[in-house]
Amino acid sequence: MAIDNEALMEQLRAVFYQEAQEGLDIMESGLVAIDSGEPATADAINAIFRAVHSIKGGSGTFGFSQLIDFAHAMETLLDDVRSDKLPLDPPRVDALLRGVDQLRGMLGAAFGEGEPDAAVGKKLLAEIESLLPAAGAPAARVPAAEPEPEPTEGAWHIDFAPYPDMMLTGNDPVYILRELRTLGTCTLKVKFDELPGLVDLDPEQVHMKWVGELHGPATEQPIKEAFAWIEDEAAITITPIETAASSEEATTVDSVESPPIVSAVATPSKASKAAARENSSIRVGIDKVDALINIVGEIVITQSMLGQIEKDFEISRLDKLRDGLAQLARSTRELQESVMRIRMLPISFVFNRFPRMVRDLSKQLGKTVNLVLTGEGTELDKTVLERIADPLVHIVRNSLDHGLESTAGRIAAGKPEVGTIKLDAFHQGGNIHIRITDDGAGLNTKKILEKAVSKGIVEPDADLSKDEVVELLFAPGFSTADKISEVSGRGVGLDVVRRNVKALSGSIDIQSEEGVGTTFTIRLPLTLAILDGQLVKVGDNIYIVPLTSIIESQQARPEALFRMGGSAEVYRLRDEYIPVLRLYETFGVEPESVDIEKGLLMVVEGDGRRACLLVDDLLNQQQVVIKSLETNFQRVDGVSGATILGDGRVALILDVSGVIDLAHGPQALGRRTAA
Amino acid sequence: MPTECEVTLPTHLDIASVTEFKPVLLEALNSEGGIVVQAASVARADAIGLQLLLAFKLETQRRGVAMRWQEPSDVLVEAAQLIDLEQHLALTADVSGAE
Repeated sequence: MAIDNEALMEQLRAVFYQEAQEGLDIMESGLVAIDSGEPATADAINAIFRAVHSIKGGSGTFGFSQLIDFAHAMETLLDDVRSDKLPLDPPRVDALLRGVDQLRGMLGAAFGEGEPDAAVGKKLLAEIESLLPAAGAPAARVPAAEPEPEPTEGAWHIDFAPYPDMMLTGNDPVYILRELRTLGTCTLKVKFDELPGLVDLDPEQVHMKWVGELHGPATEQPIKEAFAWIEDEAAITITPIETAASSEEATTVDSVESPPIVSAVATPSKASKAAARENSSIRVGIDKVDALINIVGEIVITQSMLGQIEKDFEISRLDKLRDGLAQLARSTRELQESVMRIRMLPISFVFNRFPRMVRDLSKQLGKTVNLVLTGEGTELDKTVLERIADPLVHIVRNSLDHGLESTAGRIAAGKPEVGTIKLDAFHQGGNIHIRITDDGAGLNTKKILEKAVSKGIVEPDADLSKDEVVELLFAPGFSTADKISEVSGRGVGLDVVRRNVKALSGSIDIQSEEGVGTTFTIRLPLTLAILDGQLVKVGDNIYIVPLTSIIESQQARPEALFRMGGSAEVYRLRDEYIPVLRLYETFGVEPESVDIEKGLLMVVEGDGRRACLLVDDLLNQQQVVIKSLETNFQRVDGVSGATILGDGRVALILDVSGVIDLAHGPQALGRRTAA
Repeated sequence: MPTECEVTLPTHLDIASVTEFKPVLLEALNSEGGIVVQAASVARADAIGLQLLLAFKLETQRRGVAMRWQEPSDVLVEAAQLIDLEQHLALTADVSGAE
């Protein structure tokens, strides 16, 4: 197989980078879980150990010596922990967590993403090494007073046959066999009966296998771990051999014909590994690709059916043509959904960073916090996911810093000492909702108002409703913190959070009850590429209103229309007075009629504010592909994008919140114009 | 008397270099005066690199071409030991003299 070596190495390096990042995430979440009181089970420690072990192995393959040394120290510490020589106590968890940060920095540096602090790294390495048992007295540091039991020996028959292209995945039998040899006496012999002659040899394909025995660990677990990284890349069987020491347990097991342990357990472990990768990776699951292939297959069949109809068309075949077109429409829709699913990733990608963040910040702030994550499997578009991470981090920092009271404050308020922050994600009405709830002190509207007055945002005598006061939090540069803290006082306010959310066509609002807590709710579209819209007509123009913004539409009743000072109009809908926006005025176009009775009022909501849009007519509802107006033309206030309709016309997609801003003007209280 | 043909192993005898290096070994097989494989500079060797050397060694035996190793590096010898190829390659045995 002729391949470009440079390209291959680049590809392998990219795979290593991605898998190392995943490994670091696994280590971090495992350590944080143990730190928060979850039991440090053998499985949990092994998972952390395997991750650092793999990082070390990969680093060796690519010659990242700094990474190898650091990972080696962490691996040694973890190895002692998993063999019960050392306890995984808080100082060790803490050092390992900082080790994860250091490895992350080193990994980034190895891939040209800046340099980690070498002095910090050196100090940390020394710290980790100091946490290992003193040389010559390994058992002296064991916390358990009982002497370590003499390890029992086991004997294992091992067959290890790499698949021919194993080396192309960056794995190397040299590493595997080196690892096996550390476990005991290894007598694995190489077999190369199938090795072609040099002339015929494809030098990148492995034609060797190893068969033999390992006398060492009493359980198969450490042996399985040596192969853990390559269980998809080789045929591996590990069979216990009956020995005098183990004959008692093995009496019911025939040593020759007993089923190979690894192959028996490899299937579920392989499946769970695949599932884990699918959940923790941007790689696309085969099921999603298969679904696409199925649909494409159906489209090809439908197309050929339509081709047949076209060939010998008679009017009697009109029904068949209609059926074919309907089938094509169904398949196209399915294809669209399947393609979208490829870009969908679980929100756990973002949520996973919070346990560590909350742990570190709560320590820094001296607060005890319980973080509850739900709905981590909720999927949303990769781009949305990447861009929502920073706003979420900001809100969670805010909740921790300003929302939750100090421990003393909580006790004084008669609340549980441990504060709770909940992150929840779920789908609702074609949108994804992310809720960040804390059971802290809630918003102090009096304090917010005082701050707003002192900053000149509102007049001292302003009479504002609670919602309007809360809205002030989104005013640029607004901060109620008495002191700027390192945690959330970074000069970035909730206005930036809202701007970022709005840039994703989403919205954010706050519900808060003093003394009970605060909830931030972010609503986001599942994807940025396609939108369910209502087509509306204003004169000769067609606009699209996102369905998620529409509350209801109705024929206007003239008696419910009121004019308030100047030209502002409001419409009374049940008990609520809602501002009326005449879209033809907003966009300066010629309507069919300016008479409100002849038009339709569409009640819409954006960023918690409502408005009645006056349009000439409602057309159909349809999904539209969003094209950026900014990229193709220029930014237009009140418009979030454009689309091309079936008849080739261009229709503008309304940014409802922006339209409301336009109508109210920049002076409106607590409201921003689209920046 | 025909002179020995010298082949120098690459510093990285691994998956990234085997495709390029195989023709060098094939060419050396045409030598009439035996082959000496200079292995001192090998700083990294993986299983696929060692497999190529094994195929080469077997080919020399099949063709009756004399070959010997010159100063195989510790890295090369250790990697060969780990995957049980050291004896098959006769890495250390050949150091003292020609086959």
